Amino acid sequence: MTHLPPPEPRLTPHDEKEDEPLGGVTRRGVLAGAAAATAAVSIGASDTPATAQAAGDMVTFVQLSAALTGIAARKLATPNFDAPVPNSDPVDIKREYFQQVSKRPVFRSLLQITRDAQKLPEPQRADAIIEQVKARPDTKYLARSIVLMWYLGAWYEPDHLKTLVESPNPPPPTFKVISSKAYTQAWALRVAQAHPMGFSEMQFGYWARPPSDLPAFITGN
Amino acid sequence: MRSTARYWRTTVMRDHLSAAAVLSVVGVLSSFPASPAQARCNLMHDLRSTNLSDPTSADPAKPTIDFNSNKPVDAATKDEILNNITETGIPCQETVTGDGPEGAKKTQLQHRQRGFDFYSWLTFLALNSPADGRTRIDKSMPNTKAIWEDRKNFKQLLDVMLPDGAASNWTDPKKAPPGCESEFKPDTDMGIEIIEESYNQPFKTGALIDQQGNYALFDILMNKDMFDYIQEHKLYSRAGQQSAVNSKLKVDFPAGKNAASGQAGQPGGIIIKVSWKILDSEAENRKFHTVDAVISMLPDHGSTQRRCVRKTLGLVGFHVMHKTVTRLQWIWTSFEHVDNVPEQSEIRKQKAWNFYKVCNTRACPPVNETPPRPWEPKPALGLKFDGTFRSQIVRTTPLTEETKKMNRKFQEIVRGSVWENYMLLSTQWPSDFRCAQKTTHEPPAQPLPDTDLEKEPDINCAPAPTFLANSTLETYSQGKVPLASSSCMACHGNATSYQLSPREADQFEPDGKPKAKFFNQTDFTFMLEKARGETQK
Repeated sequence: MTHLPPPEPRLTPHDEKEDEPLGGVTRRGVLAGAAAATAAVSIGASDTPATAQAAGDMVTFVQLSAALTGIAARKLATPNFDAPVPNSDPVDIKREYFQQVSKRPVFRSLLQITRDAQKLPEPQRADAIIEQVKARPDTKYLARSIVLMWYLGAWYEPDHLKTLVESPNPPPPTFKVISSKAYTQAWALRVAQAHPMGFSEMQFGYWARPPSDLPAFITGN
Repeated sequence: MRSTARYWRTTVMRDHLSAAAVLSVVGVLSSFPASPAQARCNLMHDLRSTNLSDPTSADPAKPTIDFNSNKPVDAATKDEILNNITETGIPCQETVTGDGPEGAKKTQLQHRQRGFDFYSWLTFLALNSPADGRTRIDKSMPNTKAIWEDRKNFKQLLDVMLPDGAASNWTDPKKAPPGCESEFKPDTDMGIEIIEESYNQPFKTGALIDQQGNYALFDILMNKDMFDYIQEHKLYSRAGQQSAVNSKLKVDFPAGKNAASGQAGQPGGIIIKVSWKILDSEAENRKFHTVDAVISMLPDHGSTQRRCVRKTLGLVGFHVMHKTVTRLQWIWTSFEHVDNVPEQSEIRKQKAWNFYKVCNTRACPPVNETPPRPWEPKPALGLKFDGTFRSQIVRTTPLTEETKKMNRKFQEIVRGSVWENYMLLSTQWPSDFRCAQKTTHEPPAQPLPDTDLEKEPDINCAPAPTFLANSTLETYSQGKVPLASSSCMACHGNATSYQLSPREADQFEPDGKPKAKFFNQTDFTFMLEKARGETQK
């Protein structure tokens, strides 16, 4: 059984201060697992087993999502998710998405694939996860749903996605926008260095300048 | 092999391109110092220090106040806090950590929120402490002049944005509001000139009418750091904002910082927005912090003459914006009177609310609706609304339990004064701290704080909480609808001025970049829109 995790895993050792200078990080560094492993240990050491498992699942879910989407975990989940002193996540869209997928039995398979990949050298992990995910139709289509969820803020049923691909006469795609928050957090337009229609957190007048480079949007670097 | 991941993602996206359609559908201080060099800064915070030589150090196991305890705050802690506030004023900068006495039982977000809320209470008490700089706030009377009401410390917006766009000095005496020349007592009166922003809420969303049928009134003030910056750059006039020099100005107000390694502390930019309730009875006066005010009404249609009315005003809402070097998107504090409006769970609670009437019938008036138009006060009625409408306001987003606990403790600390009748709603702060401290370091060297106001995709650096509304100041935009509901930073991040684009912004380097940037932004304040005088044709 998968438990819903608390709103935000606690990832900081007791003696660290917030406003310390941070070193540079890379997207791949995000997946290196050091922070996540620390987080999992920290969570496991200080929480009830059930909650610890759920919090660990959340960390793994974010790692899985980063591998599938190509967007840094720290951008998907929280500012500085991977940093030595991780930040808070007031938006917490990961929780809604986790809730969306966590009750599906196949989800546990995806988590296991992700955990197994952490044993590999960091540069190989994302590809390894994707290869494993593709190997079975059930994991493949749930993974596709997860990708679409992050990019579009909408939920596509995995079985429906399968039908869209395999049916000789596929029906029009059906989907459900998960929430207004999910709409604002969808990544498709951010990857295009833009923003969702009707929702911008950019400076007034940004349209008169070239957008920031892509890494600012997807890695924060 | 690198391409595997990319190919897979591309395939998923290509297969479902049609899904993209959804995207198209769907200022302090006891005595605010005369110069920053003299600034004292309150270094208290929610956790006890571990190191005497570094008051901002924090021991997560030792809270300054145990907010979970049922025991009263001990006398020593109460004295320590209140004396500290009287002696050192506001924190020039926040001190927060991601940890605390409840350790892993709380999230980092909650730990930091507690730190910011503690900062907010210190700020609120410091700003509202007696202006004499000696008396503790718990000893103040309802009408004791507060630090922020003393013109040595803060100026009202319309005393800076003068008619005809004139310059001014910090020490200029307050002028009587138009039509109130014979009534105004400069030493004791608050002078208010009614403009639309005095009675209409942000984005012209409507007036707020109390249960006695009076308009709620709003006012904005700034500290000396703000004033000096505005004067230095001639931002007090539309023409000044539109000058060629200012076409390249990136408005970047001073940021507060604590004293460190031989450097003096600096308050930084502080803006206050208040809401007032007109008080009709002596009994009411005892519940509120009050001021005597002369109010210059809007002129009658076809006339330039303004009537002047004298009223006693009770403080019902109190916003503080404070820019600090570590939170360049400002820290947003909001307080209000405990009797303003009920939360949804309190709507049956028998109480004389300021902006709500308990209703136990089936024919209750709808809540959170704006008054019928016109909203403009009719001069002949003073500040009584024309009609029987009374605002029926309910708080949409309840306070968190943590904030309620903190409120109870601080209210206890100021028990016996009217300040026990005020509560913190929350503090909004930029939670991505790397983003929140980001400066440009662009050549040529920019003056400090050199805020990066261009960063994308989020200029607000992940505000926490995402939404925050005061029932008297953002009455009609409470809620949790992205971009529509009240978020201090998300709203103020769009504030602009009358600045014009430099000619070079339309000329381009060989790499396609413009030769100059145009920043029509005002560093999170709408104040510059109130500049007067002529605009360029």
